[in-house]
Amino acid sequence: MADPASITLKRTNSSRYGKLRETSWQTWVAVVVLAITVIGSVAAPLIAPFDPTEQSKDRFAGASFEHLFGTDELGRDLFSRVLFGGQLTIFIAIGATAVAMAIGVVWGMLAAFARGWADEILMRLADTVMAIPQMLFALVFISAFGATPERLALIIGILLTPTTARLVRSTVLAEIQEDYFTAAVAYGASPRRLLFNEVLPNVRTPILVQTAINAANVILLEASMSFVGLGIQPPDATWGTLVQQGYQKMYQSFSYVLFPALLILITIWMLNLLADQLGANSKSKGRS
Amino acid sequence: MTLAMNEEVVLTVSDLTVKYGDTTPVDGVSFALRRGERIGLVGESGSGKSLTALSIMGLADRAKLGGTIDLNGTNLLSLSSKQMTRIRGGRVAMVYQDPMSSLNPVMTIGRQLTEAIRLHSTATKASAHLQAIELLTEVGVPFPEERMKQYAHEFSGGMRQRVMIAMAMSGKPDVLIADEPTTALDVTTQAVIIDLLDRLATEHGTAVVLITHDLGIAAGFCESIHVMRHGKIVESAPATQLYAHPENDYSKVLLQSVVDLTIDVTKPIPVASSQAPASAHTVASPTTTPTTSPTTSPTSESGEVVLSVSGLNKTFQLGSGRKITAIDNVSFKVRRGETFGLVGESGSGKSTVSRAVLGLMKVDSGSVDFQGNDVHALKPTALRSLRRRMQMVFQDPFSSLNRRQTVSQIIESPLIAHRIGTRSEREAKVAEMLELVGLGAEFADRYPRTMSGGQCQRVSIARSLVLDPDFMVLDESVSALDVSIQAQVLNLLRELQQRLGLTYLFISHDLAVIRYMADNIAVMRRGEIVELASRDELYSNPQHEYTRSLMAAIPVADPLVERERRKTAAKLAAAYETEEVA
Amino acid sequence: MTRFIIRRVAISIVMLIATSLLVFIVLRLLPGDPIITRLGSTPGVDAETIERLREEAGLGAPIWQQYLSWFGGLLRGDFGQSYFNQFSVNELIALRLPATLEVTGLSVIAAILIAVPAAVISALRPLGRIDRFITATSTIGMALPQFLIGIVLIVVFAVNLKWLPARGFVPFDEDPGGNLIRMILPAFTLALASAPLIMRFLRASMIEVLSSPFIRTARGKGLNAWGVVIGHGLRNALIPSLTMLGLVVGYTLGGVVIIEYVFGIPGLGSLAIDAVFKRDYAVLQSVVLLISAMFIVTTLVVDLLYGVLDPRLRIGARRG
Repeated sequence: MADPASITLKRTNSSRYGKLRETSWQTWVAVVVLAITVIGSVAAPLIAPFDPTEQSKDRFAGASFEHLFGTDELGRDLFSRVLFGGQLTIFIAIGATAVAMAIGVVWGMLAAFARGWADEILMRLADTVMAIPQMLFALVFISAFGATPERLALIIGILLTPTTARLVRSTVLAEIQEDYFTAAVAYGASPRRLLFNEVLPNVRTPILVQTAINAANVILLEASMSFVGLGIQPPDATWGTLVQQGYQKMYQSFSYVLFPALLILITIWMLNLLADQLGANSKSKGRS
Repeated sequence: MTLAMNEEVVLTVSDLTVKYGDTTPVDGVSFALRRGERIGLVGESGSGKSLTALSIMGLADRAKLGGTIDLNGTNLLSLSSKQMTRIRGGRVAMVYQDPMSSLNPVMTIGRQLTEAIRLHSTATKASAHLQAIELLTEVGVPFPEERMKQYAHEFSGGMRQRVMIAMAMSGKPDVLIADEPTTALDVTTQAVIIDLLDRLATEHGTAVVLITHDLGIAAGFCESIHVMRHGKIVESAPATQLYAHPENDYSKVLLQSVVDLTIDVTKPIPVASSQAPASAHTVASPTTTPTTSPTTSPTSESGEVVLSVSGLNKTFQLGSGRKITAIDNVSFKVRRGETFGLVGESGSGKSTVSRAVLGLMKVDSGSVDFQGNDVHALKPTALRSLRRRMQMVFQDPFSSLNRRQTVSQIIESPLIAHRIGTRSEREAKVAEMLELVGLGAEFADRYPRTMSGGQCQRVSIARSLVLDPDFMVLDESVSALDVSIQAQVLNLLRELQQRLGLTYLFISHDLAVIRYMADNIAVMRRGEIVELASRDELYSNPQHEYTRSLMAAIPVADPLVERERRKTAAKLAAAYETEEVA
Repeated sequence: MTRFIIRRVAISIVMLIATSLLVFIVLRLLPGDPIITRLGSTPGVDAETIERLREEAGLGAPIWQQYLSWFGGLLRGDFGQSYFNQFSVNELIALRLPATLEVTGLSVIAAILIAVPAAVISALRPLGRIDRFITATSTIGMALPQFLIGIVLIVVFAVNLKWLPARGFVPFDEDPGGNLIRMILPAFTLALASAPLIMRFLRASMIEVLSSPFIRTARGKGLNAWGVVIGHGLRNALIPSLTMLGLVVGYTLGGVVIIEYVFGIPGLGSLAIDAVFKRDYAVLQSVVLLISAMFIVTTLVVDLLYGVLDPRLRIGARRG
């Protein structure tokens, strides 16, 4: 028998860059657009040509070089308002998604590993929260506590937790029942190793997909709430409140309502697209 | 079994090619079928046999077809899809491999049957209903009236296949194609179903194309056989001639690799030197004749007891309150260096035993003693460290490997889990393991999905060996593999046992494979051990009726013997089949 | 089977109770007091009046007592008494319920009518041109919040084309034609919002079903394309889609709140929003619970339907 130490294992690099090459153009589009949106919003103080609260005599101006999106009823530059509105919208989106994922993943995993009655209780709890239509629950909560950006992020995040938990639970359960998991138990892997080395890598993608979906839902919910006036209150502005204000003044300036609405649409669309692409990609690679 | 009386040719396949993109899974296949004749298309997975059948049926979607398929004067490949739809099920019909998934789960059997009947006749609903009942009686389904209202999941495997056959025969086809009709069934039911096909085909004068990987079954049923490999027919001959004097090398290998009750247990199974062309999968060729000759291990009561199982019981609670007794008072002992065989069909409880033995499943009562440790009483940390000495290889080669890990990551996982060795030591060990199981070093960075079943199973074995265990549980480890690959893996297992002094618990439904591998054997049925004996005792003088019926159910790759055997087996098994109760 | 039904109904009841607790607790967590907050600084309202109003509303009692009296009332069919006007909540609900039911019902039906054919056509040739078009459209559709769809429809059909009225509601028994005309835009808005969800799920379900072995059997019998796709494919794919339908009803019930606001429909949703603005918890808690109950009942019906339609769940596997 040959000396094992002398046998070198050939390492190939194909696996490392292969994944990048496999990514579809739609994924790239989504990532780029989202990146622009996020960076633009975060950098609002740097990019915005005007102070969003600065009023002027130039009311309801149309789109122009100076005012890219025009101006509103108080002469404030809409482009700047949209940028800063984006900042708040993105802040709430990231905050709520973080809350939803942090709680949801743990909740789902606990349920999946615990099984039996603990699982049952955890899931029934999820069902109870899900029984109240999201919009209503948010309204109830906000009416009780008032709508600051932090509270909004918190409550919307909590709203999305049960669906996240359910998804995590079902993907983890599916993996636990596979032979390779049993094999890992059989060769004596510790629970920690089982979780991090066997299960997590295989549920990474569905969880990522759910993150994108959650982010999209946050923006949806927040926009809806702000539109009816029960979300963020002036002078703070998100895209939702801007749409609400713009809608009132639609006859005077169409761009007032158009641009924030477009941004909402594009952001949610890109997030959904990303979720789709990530999901489809993993399906084709999954089984042999 | 009567030979075709008529010279009339019913089906002629000429130079059939099927292309998918740049692969050509069927490459120039030609054969002819006379009225009432039975032919077999025999081959392993990837040979193109199923695709040939689907092409005849016009079900090969999105494929480019070439050549001609002449059915009674009509070239099927030239028909429009509407025209083909009318012929399908009527003049040519097909029975598929897995009856459970091939029947619509939410439609009654009766509805599916009458649908088939009305497609090829002018029957009214009422008359179709009656015809359906007649058909069910003809295929041997008891209480057909009530059964018509039932659903697929309420039938046993054998019964489902009978229904499928009834559906296929309902259109009174000239040609019946049976694609691995018994593969998904228990061995004892197989004979019954083949017998049924035999009888029906004779009565109705239907020509049959039997597709199978099992040479024994083909031997007993087909008049002539076409051996397929990589999309081509490599040999065609009348059955008796093929089995007695195979000409093509591959046919020879196929026949020799078959593990039946007559194979010599002292020698390795003869296998080919290379199993694949120079494309897709490169298999590192194992040695053709292993240099070590395995000695038969002593069957007497010597040797230290490694594993002692006594009085194991386990019952499962189903959601609806029903209970299933998985295992009932199971006890046996396994000694060092031997292979203990556990044989049984589906539902026998053998899988439950394998999990209980390794402590992967809790039991209601009884004990498992491994080298002095009570497996079920150990604390988790102690159990984990005991696990280094007992390992398992599963049935499905793909699902038992983490699809996100490379082969070397998979093999070194157990080492990392037990914190053994430095990085370079682990790498060296992985290389050693790969060599041990006959895989080249280039497999280290491959992902399971790019590998074949046999290769994946070798990786599985390598992973089990990396911790230097004393004991291995092989749970149907070769059942999902092709015949020739199966032979290779069995040889490998025996060689490893010799070299490393391993003790095996070998679990299978295949009595012939068990006979080749095991020294002592327990036969299980419905959770109980019905017979426990040494190899020689069991196979020369089986005591229990069930053991005898199991043994009789094994197809033999010899046409004359096989036909006799099947008749006996069918009788024995028919009694057991109808007995299956919830 | 009966065991299954009883168990399932029992779970629904428990969930209703849990939901009522949840709603109640969240509302009462607010420090302070609705009446004081609302009227405290209103001139002309003295401390005595406030105290009296609070007494009448039962706000002086301990929390658990308030909950029990509310819940007890619910069991008797009494949804409480509004804090700020003379109507009982029952009356308010009775006034508003029909409109909400109508909008929700119409939109769900419309959504199904849009989604099912789209899903079937898409699934026939996955990734084909029609499929990609339908999928792309539904991805964009999903990205539009319900209110945006509403706005767009209003702008196009009411403002520009002037085919349909933008707002308003007329009870059905007064003027069926007028009622339905005004229902078109709101129902359609909700339908467009939820149709993509149904469509995508059903499409995925159908693709999976169509690649199952029993479809090959159906074709192998000589069944034509229609029979295979609809008779075997759709029938099997619809069953798991029922769950999705339940979720969509829930989503619609949430959206109805916004849509009633946008289109000026006097339904439960706009009642809830009013109650939020006015901090009229007595109304709010009952309305929210009622809407949640509607959702819980929907999921219950879906689950039971599932048990009826899928024979595998009906009987324990009897073999033989």
